[in-house]
Amino acid sequence: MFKFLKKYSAVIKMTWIQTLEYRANLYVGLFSILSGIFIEYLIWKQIFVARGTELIRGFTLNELVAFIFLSMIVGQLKSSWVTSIEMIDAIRSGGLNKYLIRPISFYTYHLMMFIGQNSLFYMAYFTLIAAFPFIFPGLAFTTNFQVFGFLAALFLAVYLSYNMYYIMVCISFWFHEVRALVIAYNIANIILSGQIIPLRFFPEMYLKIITFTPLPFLVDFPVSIATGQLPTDMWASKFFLGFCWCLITWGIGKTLYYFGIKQYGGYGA
Amino acid sequence: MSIHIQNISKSFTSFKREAGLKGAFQSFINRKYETFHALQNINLDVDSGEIVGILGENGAGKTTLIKLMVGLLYPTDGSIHIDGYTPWKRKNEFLKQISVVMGQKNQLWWDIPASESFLLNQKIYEIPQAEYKKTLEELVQLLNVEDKLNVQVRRLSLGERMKMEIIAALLHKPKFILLDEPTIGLDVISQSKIREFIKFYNEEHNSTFLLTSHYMNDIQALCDRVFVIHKGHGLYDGNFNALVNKIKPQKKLIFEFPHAPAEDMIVSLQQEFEFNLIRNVVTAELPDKQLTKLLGSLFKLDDPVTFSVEELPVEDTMRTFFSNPEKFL
Amino acid sequence: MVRRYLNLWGSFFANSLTRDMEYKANLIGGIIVDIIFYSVQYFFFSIIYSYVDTLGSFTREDVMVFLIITFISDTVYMFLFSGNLFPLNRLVVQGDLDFMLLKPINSQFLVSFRYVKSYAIFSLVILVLMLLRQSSLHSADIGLMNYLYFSISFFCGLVIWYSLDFLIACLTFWFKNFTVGGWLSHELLKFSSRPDSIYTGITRKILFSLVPMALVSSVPARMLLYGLNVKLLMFQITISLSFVIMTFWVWKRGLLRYESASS
Repeated sequence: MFKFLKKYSAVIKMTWIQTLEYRANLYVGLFSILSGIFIEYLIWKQIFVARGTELIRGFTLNELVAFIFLSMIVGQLKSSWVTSIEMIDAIRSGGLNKYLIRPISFYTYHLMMFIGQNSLFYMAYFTLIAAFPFIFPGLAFTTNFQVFGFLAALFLAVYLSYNMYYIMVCISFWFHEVRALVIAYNIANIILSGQIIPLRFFPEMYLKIITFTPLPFLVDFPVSIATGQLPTDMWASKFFLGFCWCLITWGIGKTLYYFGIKQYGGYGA
Repeated sequence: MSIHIQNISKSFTSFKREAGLKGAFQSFINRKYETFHALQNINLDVDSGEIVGILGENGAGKTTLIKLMVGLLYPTDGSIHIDGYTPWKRKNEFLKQISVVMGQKNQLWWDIPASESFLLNQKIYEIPQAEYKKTLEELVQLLNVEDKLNVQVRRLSLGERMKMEIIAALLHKPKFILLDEPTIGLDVISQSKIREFIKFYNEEHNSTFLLTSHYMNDIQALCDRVFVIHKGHGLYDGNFNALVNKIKPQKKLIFEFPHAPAEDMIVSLQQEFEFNLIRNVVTAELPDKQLTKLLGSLFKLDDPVTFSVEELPVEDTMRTFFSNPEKFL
Repeated sequence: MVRRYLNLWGSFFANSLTRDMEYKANLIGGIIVDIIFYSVQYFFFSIIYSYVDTLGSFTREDVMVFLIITFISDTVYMFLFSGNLFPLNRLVVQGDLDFMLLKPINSQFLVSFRYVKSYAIFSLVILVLMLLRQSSLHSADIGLMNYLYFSISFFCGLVIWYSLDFLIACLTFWFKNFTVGGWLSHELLKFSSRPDSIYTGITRKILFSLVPMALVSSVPARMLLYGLNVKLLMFQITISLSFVIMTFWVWKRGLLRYESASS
């Protein structure tokens, strides 16, 4: 176990060095979140004014903005599409060989790389989140319980999301243009996992369908915990369900990889 | 097309960084810059119709010099005139008369046949249709790629691709052509084909060629004259063979006796010359004059079964040279 | 001159088409991504409008027209520029820009128009038909003149978007390996994908001048839906002209930097 940690923490450290090189990424990421929440705020402000109500679906304007803000942050932290495209390219071009001949796992290596690449974002966003009780007093992280619950759920979301991307990556053993699938999923995911509009604002029918998918665990679950929208007595069952989704997606990914690697051509270079 | 390069200097500033996470952090916070002198006070004149080889190790400044000549870089100091044009003004009339081929880069579109890229070049260089057709036919025939014109570039072999790159570069009949490692990575046959072609084209059109190559055979076959750059300074400008002679005037002699020669004779000869004797065979690496003398003495001893005098491999010679160029000049 | 460059663009298009035909899977993938992207935008607004009837001056049916216009400008942009401006960074980093600079034609033109994403033309046709249908269903009377003003305004919007993206891409001359250019411009573009009526105060001023994203699709939509607004159109033309001029200037400065930096 210790050796395992040592090996893969080296991967994380290496990507830090790279990430520091690309500090512009961080600025754009921050700009993305701040401008995004700003636009959402403007739209919802108009809606609240036009309706002349204090509450929509049980949210005040401030509660809603805080919720969306957190959703955007979680949404960005969990999305490993860039890593996935690299993985697909590795499979398609033969770069996978590099992993096959070394004592490292393709799956774990990229998971660590993804976390490492995002480390700057984690730092920056956690600073933002730490300021939450001051920006939106009483709207999120009111108890320590919520803070730890959020962190646990965030970890689950990142891991689950990585597994879902990994399934798509493995499909590229059989099909050429899986990149488009990843990009399409990523775009659809922005709305379907509730990154810009909370899931509970969706029409009833969509909401019903979505509860049968892992999608609510990607963004809505951690944010609901942080903002106290999810009653504490439901946490255990939700965490259990989320954990099951992780297992299922992990299993599918492993199975696809198991069969895919037999299919894999090696491709020289 | 004549080239006048006067007192050209070029320096770059870049930021330096230490390795590792600590270095990355440091450069994140505060970057340190340093100046690098790529070229210092270079002078070179080339007449129309010449083929001049530019020699130098990696990082000596060859590419910088080439880039200055085609106007991709501004010099820090000095001037360049090519047929009266200043390259870095990049006037269209000037650009229409030059061409650059880089062995490691390709300008052809990867996924479509070369012929389509040629058509694009026709439009870019505004080549009249009749002239375009004639030139293309001529080049295609000379390089022997008639049947490859309509094949996607990515399906071509490296040698064929290089030939296509050369055609693309010559369609507009440039008067001044820069070849940067044109034969890199090619097999021996393709290399010599391309060499022959360059030689022929140069004689036919009297166009000026500048050439860099890691293969000394390229240089020896094509360039009478070379210009050597070392650490940004011009070190030598003149005949290539003269340079080789200067560095290593030795030639290699192999002389085979019918019977083992008398030992005392050999011992006395060995006091005068440096050579080896293994059974019946004498081998020696000596400068011209000494070699002739030795040969004379050996003939006096006995008639040989066979003998030969060879040049030393030019690659080795140049390696010796670049290990310490100042020593030889 | 203009003919020569149109002719050149024709060659670019022909070559791109030849290439894109080779990769059918790419083409289908591209279309799928487009459709998902459009659906997501549609879904977003359909949720928003289930809570409200108008966003400022834009009613639900106005926003549908607006949406299609944003799709069209997105597609035209994809068609012409997306294959060119993103990769500028790579050209600069790897030094392949050299080849473009050695051609006896305007280098900004070559860099901006070289690759055409030819498959976008399918989406474009469908979207234009959709726009015609949606605007004929619209309760307001949209006359032929509205289409004319819309076209002018749309063209200006495209020019502005091109210029802004080009300027961002040019940052690669100043920041070594500026890989985030594409992302940054995508984030800016977000402002143009929401109707301008949500912006107020200083934001509105900025989006109409310094970062004129509101002029990209909201103003063309206004011309189509609400008819000519001379002042606004004149303003848009002025802004787009000044942005294009800015790109010329920045390109020149950038090349100077490229030439003195590369080795």
